[in-house]
Amino acid sequence: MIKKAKKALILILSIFLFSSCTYRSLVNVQKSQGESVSITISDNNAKYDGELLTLADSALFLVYDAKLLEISLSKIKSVFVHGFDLTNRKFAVMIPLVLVDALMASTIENSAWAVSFGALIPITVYTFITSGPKVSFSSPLDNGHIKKLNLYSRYPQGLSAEQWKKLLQFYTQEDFLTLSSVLK
Amino acid sequence: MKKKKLIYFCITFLLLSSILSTCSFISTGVESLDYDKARKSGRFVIHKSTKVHLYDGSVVVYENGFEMNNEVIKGKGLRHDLTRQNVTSVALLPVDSVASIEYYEKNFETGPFLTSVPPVTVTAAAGTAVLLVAIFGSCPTVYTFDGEEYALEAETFSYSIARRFESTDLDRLDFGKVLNGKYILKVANEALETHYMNSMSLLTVDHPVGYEAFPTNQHAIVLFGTESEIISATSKSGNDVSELISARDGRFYESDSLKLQELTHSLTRDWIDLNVKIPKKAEKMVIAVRLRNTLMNTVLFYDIMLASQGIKAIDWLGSKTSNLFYAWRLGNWYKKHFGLHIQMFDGKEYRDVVRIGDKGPIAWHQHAVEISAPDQDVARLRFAFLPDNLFIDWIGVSFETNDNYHTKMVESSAISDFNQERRDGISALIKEKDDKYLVTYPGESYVLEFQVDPVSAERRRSYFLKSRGYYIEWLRKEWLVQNPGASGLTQFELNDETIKKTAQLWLNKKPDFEKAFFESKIHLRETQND
Repeated sequence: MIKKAKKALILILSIFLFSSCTYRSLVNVQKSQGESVSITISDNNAKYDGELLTLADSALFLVYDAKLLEISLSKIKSVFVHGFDLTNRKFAVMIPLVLVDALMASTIENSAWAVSFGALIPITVYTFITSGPKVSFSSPLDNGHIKKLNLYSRYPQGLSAEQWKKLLQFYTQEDFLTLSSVLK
Repeated sequence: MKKKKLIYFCITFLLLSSILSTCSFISTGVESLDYDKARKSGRFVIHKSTKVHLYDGSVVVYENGFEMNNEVIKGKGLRHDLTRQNVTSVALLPVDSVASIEYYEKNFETGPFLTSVPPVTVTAAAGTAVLLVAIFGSCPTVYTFDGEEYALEAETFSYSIARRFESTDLDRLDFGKVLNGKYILKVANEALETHYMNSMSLLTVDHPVGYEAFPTNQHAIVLFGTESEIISATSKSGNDVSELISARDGRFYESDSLKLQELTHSLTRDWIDLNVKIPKKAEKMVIAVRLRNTLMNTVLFYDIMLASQGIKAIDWLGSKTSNLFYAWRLGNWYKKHFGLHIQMFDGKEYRDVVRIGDKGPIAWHQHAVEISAPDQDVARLRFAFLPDNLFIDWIGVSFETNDNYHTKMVESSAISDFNQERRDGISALIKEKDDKYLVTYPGESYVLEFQVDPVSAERRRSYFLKSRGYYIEWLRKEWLVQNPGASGLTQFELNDETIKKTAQLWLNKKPDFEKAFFESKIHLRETQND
């Protein structure tokens, strides 16, 4: 039992040590491309991963499998932005903190302190989960969502028909791929 | 001394920085810049990483921001064309070509930071929990030699009852005299215990005349200047105790039995209230005490912690106290209840300022703490403690202190054992803190000689023993055959009931226990000189 407790303590201290440099964003602010996103489709929960090009009023454009893909906004269940996501790092820090809180709450003699550490657990979980930038967007995607998501895209300003044409040529396409042509 | 303080400050700063850096959570977000507003402002400067999207589908990335006026954007940027295949550097960019601007913002996450501070602090504290000390017993006794006889001076690391609680102790030595350049003292094991001595050195402190040197909580030295006049000293019962605590004369304050009885049914404290006039412009005050524990702690250790557990006491001493968290809890519980809690009246109530830990029941101990002087005419101090846990012989307050002192650590130059045989090889065992120990058993003693330099005429020298180690209590047969729960406690618990039970036992045993305890002192095995 004592050996286990010692191991647990060493583990918690080690996690703290490593986690001390984890919850810091590693976003590449110099890249010219859009962010990597995962799009989930409402009908079949199929997931499409690619670079976010832009969002228009009714469609989202993606570089999917080195091709330009157009997805109607009405078919999208959710959009997840990977580059700004801190979930793993947040959990790496939050779990040892919660463990220490729980350990203190269960072992400390002073009841006021014990209750305080116990109360800290849900507060810690809540503050960690809600911290950081919004990276997950669910349907319906309204104008606010579109505006926010466009900040992660390659062309937030949108493109003209001429510019789309040039881009299609670059990707050796005559027209955009649609979900039906890349059906999973 | 100033150098030492600077080192402590740096270490503390680094530790705090490490803890705080562990708790700093920074996320990056992307925001849209109000381009029209920025443009209308005439001159706009941004130092953050920025992306400027142009109408032609290209983007200019400014790693360190840019400066903008009505006509152009100036800055060191990289322009990526529509397909993002070609990159060119840009210094000036016409504002008319700009469709939108976005910038990256680093955000400090306050919530996660605040919620992480308590557990991170606790974890850091747990890492140093091995430094915490707990309880009791007898421990090594120290005698100094004045040329004619040995006088009892101290009991070292008296609260280090297991290896986990190994600690450093600093005791002032008052009676010994330097004889032919040598300071001689005797370390003895006079109880049914095994002592593990890790290090033992003589600390000399040369300081100005008019000051007295005392050990502090941090095993450092503080100088105590002219003693201030105490306006009043009253006990919790309202009695004037000025005469009892104003001189180091062996006339001391002790709690009356009514207060001890009160402790048997409710957790309470006894105290002495002291009022001292504060000189104008005083910044610091040094509070010094001479005190000794009663045997209440020993009852707690012998009867509650060990005897009440019966055979389980072996496991408790051997392995449970090795558990870091249990040791932390035990130390935490002990510090909360025991020791001398010095409090100051803040206008509304008495608040804890500093605590002086228990010092042991055998020898008188002198100890001091330095605190900031309050911005008042009179300092209202309260010295609170568990009823009948302490004898208080003297409380002194001085507003004069001094950093002008010089310390020197002296290692033993010669050691002889209880058979008066030279055992200089032992010096290596107690030279410094390491994994080597001088182990002693009941009845054994060693005489240590320290070669000291002469002290200059204009300075005064004080002597201290700096020691480190722990001891293991021998479990008596009657404790081991004790039926757990016989004392009314099914097992030793770190709670208020244990304090009340200890008070009840101490109240019942007090008349005989003191006599029995001191009579049970193990006689030293010593070969006498003819």
